Amino acid sequence: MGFESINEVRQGKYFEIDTKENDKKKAEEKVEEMCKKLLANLVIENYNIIESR
Amino acid sequence: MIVNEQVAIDHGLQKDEYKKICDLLKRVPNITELGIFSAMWNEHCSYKSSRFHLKNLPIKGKNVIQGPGENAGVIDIGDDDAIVFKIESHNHPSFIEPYQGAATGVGGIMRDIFTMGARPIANLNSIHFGSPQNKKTKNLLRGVVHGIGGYGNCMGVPTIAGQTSFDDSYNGNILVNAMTLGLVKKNKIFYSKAAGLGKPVIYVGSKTGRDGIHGASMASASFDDKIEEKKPTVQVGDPFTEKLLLEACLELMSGDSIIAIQDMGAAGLTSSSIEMASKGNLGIEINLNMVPCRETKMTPYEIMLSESQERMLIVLENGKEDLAKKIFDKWNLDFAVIGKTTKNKKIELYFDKKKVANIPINTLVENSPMYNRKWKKAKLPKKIKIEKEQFKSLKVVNVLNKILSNPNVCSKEWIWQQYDHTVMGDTIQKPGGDAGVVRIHGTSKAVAASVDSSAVYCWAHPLSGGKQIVCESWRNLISVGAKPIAITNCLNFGSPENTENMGEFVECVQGLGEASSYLNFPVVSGNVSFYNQTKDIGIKPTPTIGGVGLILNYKNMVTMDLKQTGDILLVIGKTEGHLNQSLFSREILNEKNGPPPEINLFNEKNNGETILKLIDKGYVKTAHDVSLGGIITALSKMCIKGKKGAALKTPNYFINQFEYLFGEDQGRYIIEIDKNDLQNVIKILSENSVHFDELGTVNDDNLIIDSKSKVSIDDLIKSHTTWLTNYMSK
Amino acid sequence: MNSSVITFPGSNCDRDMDIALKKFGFKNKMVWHDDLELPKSDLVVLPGGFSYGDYLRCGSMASKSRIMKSVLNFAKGGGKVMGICNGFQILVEAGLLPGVLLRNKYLEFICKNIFVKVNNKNNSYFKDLKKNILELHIAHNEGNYFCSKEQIKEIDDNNQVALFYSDESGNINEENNPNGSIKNIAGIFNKEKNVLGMMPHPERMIDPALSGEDGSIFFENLINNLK
Repeated sequence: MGFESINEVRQGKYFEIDTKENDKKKAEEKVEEMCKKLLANLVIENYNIIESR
Repeated sequence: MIVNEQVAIDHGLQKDEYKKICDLLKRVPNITELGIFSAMWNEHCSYKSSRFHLKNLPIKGKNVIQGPGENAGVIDIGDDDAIVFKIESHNHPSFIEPYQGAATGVGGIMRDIFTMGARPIANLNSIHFGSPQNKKTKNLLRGVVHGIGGYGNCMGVPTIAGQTSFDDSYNGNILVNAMTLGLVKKNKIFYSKAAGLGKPVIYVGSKTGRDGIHGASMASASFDDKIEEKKPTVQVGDPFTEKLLLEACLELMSGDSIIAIQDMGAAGLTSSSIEMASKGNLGIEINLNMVPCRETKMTPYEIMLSESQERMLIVLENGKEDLAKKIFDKWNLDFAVIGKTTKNKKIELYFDKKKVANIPINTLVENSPMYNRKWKKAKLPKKIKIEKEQFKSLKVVNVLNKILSNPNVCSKEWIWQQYDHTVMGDTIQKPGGDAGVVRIHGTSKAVAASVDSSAVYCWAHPLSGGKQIVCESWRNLISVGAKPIAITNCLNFGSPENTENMGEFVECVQGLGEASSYLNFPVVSGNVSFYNQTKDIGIKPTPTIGGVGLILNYKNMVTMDLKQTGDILLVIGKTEGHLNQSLFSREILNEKNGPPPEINLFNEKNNGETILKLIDKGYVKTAHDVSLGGIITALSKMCIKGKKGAALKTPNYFINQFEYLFGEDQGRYIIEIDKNDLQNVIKILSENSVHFDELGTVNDDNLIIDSKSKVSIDDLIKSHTTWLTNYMSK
Repeated sequence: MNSSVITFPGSNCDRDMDIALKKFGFKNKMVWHDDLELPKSDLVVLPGGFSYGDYLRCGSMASKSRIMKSVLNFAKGGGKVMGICNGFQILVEAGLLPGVLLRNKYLEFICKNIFVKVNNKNNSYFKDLKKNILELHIAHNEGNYFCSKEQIKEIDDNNQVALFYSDESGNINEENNPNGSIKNIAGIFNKEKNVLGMMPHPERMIDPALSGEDGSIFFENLINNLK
C-alpha cells in the first residue's frame, strides 16, 4: 500500500469492561483476576490495564 | 419519509412496478411497505424474469417427495429415509467481501436444509473466478475458500466435492454456489406452510442488526465502479450460532410442536413471514417491538429488511411456547413470540403501538410481476475445420502436460484440503473424484453428489450446453456406481433485460429440461441468479447442476484410481474427435469458435444404464467419465490417482491422434476390467447396443501413448498438482 | 469400562467419538457441559469441534464450563482424561496440560492424513501398542503447539511428549510437520501421564471403508490397558 517506514506491527485485543464495582482499586483487582483467569493466556500473551474510570 | 416514484426506483423497482403497487394498495405505500415490496418483488425473491420459463422444467419422479417451491427439494432413498438438498448462489456478496459472502452463502443453504428437519450430512460448492492473471483473482479465491471452510468446518459438516473454474468473463463478477444435502426420516419432514388461526409466530436464533439491509436488492443489481460502497450490504455470519441453532431446531423438531418453519434468508423477516402466510393462505400479525435487536433504535423498515444471519421463524402449536423456549434457552439462543397467524390474509405490522404496515399478502406474492422478457435465439455456430498444419508442430506429451496444468483441469487439492471432509465419519469418497459419496449413517446405503457446470459450452450454444451439463452430472454419478435420482440447479446469468443474456437463460433452461426429462432426472429445487455482470457485460451463461444419486450398498462404490497392472481399459461410447470448444482447441490452438459437442440423449441414457449393469455384476474395477480434455486427460487422472500407468492401443479410427485423444465427444466413460471378464463385458455391451473401443492396458509406471510418446506417472503428477499451489503461494 | 464424552456448545466430533468408543467396547455416556458431576467413568474424553466458536481463544471458554471442575478433580485423582483436537485446546486452557495451541504456521485449515511416531509407551494410552508409527488424521486451523522455554525443559525432563509428527518411517523433520508445532509435537501428556492431549483424530481412523485402521489399534489397546 506504499507505507515503507514500518519496522514492526503487532496485534492485540482490547476489552472494555463495565463492572458494578464503585471502588476503583477493587474494580482493577477484579479485572486483574479476570485477565489472569480467562482474558489473557499468559503463555503467549501479556496484558495491561490502560485506563479505569 | 415521503414515498414517491424516485424513492421506488432507488429501491430497485421499475416505474411501472411502483404504479402497480399503488394500484393494488389503492394508495401510496409508506416507506416500510415500499421496502417490503422492493424485497419481495426483486428478482431474487420473486423470480419475476425466470418463473415463466422454469415452470416447464420436469419436477416429478417416483423418488420425488417434494419438488421446487419449498425451502429445498426432497427425494426418497428407501427405508423411510429421505435426502433434502438444494444449491444456492451468493455471487454478489462474495465479490464485494469474499470471506463473509462465501461463508454466509454456506450458512444460508445449510439453514434451508435443516429448516426442513434434516441434519446436514454433506456440503459441496461450485466456485468460478476470473482469469488467474486478473489482479483480483488470487485474493478472491483465497477469501472465498477461507469463508467456505470457516463456516462449513465450524458447523461440523464435511465438504465432500466441488468445482472450481477460471474464465475471463468472471473477472468482474465471481460465482459462489453452495449446495447442502441433509438426511431426514420421511415422516419427520417440516414444511413452511403456516396453518391454523391465532397460532404463535416465534423468532429464534441471533439478534437482528443492520447487516445486509437490501442484500436481496443488491443481488438483483449489477456491479459498477461503486463496489466499495456496497460493503455494508454483505451479511456477517457466525457459524457457532448456527451450530447451536441447528441442534436446538432438531431438538424441537423431535417433538410435535412445530406447525411450520422457515429460515430467514434473503429479505429476512419479510420473506419468511410473508411466504409462510401465503402458502397457508393466512394472514400474519407481527409486533416489531418483540423482535430481539442487537442495535438500538432500529426502525420497522430496518427490522423487516435486515438480513442478519442465523435466524428462523416458526409457527408453533398453541401451548408449546414454554417447551420450545426451554430448548432455545439451553442452547443460549434468542426466543421471542413476535406475532400470530390471522384470518385477514394480510401482513400487519405494529411498532410502538402503531400500525406501520398493512399489506394484503397476495399483492406481494401472487400479484408479483411476472415477465416474459424478450429474448434472442442463439444460432448454432458453424463447425470450424482444423487444418492439418495446426497439429504439425505439436507433441502429444507436451500438450498433455499443458492441459493437465491448466487451471480448469489441475488438481484443486490446495482448496479442498482446507475443508474438513471427514467429520461425521461417513465420507467414503472425498473430493477429487467424480462425485463425493457419504454413507447414510448406520446403514449400508450411500448417497453420491457432484456439482458441474460448462460455461464454455453454454456460451457457444445455450441449448446444447444446457443439455450437456445435465448429462455430465448424470455421468459423474454413474461413474461412482450411483443411480442418478434428481438434481438441483443454480442458474447464473447476466441481465434478463439484455435479449442475448435472456436468450441464453431461456435456451439453457430448455436444454436442461430436455435432458433432465429424458434421463428421468427431475429438478427438485434450485435458485436463479441474474445480473451477474459488470456494467453491461454479462458472464458466460453458467447453469450449475447439483446431481444426487443413490448407491444401495456402499461396498459397491466405484473409484477412479487404476487398480491392477494387466487390466484392460475400455472407452464406452463413440469417439468422433469433436474438437470445437474443447479445452485443446481453446488453449492449445487458440481457436475459441465453433459449436460445442453434440448431445445424443439416447446414448447418454443407454451408456450410463449399461455401465450400472456392469457395475452391478462386479465387472467394473474403476470408472471415470470423459469430459474436459478428452480421453487422454481422463486417463491421466486415473493413472495419477492409482499411481499406475497405461499403454494405449492404436485406435482404428480415421481421425488424427489429437482428435482422438483430446476430443470432447459426450456420453463416454473409461472403465478398467479384469482381462478374464472381457468377453462377458463385451457380451453385455453388445446386447445393449453400446459402442465401445479398447483403449489399452494398465501397466506399472508409464503412460505410453504411442511409440514416440511416453510420460512417467511422476511427471503426470507434477503437471497436475503444482499449478494451483504455486499460484497461491506467490 | 465406562467412558464419558463431554459436549460443549459447538462440539461437533462428539458423535464420532461416541461411535468409536462404543465400537471398541466402552459403555459411553454423553455429558452436557453444564452438568455438575461426571458420571462414573474410567475415561473422560473432550472431543473435537469448535466449542464456543473459538471465541477469545480456542478452548478458552469451554475450559471454564461447569463440568470442568469435575473433570479437573477427576484428573487430579489420577483419572484418565483425553482431549482430541479442540479437546486438546480445552485441556491446555484448563491448565491440565502445558503449552498452548496457536494458528497453523501456514495460516490455513488443513485436513489430511499424517503419520505420528509414538514417543512414550510408559503409560495407559500407549503401553503394549503393537505399532510405533501410526497413520492418523488431522483437521484443524489452530494445531500449532507452542510452549515456553521453561515448559519445554520440563516436558523433556519428564518425557511428556506422547506423539511427534513424522514421516511413514518415523523420521521427525520439518517436512512432516503440518502446522509448525514446536519440535513436531502432535500430542502431549501431563507430568503424571494420565492426561493426554493430541491434535490428530484417532476416531476418524477406525473404519476400513473410510480410511486406515490405526485408530482402531489405538482404541483396542487403550481399553485393554484400562481393564
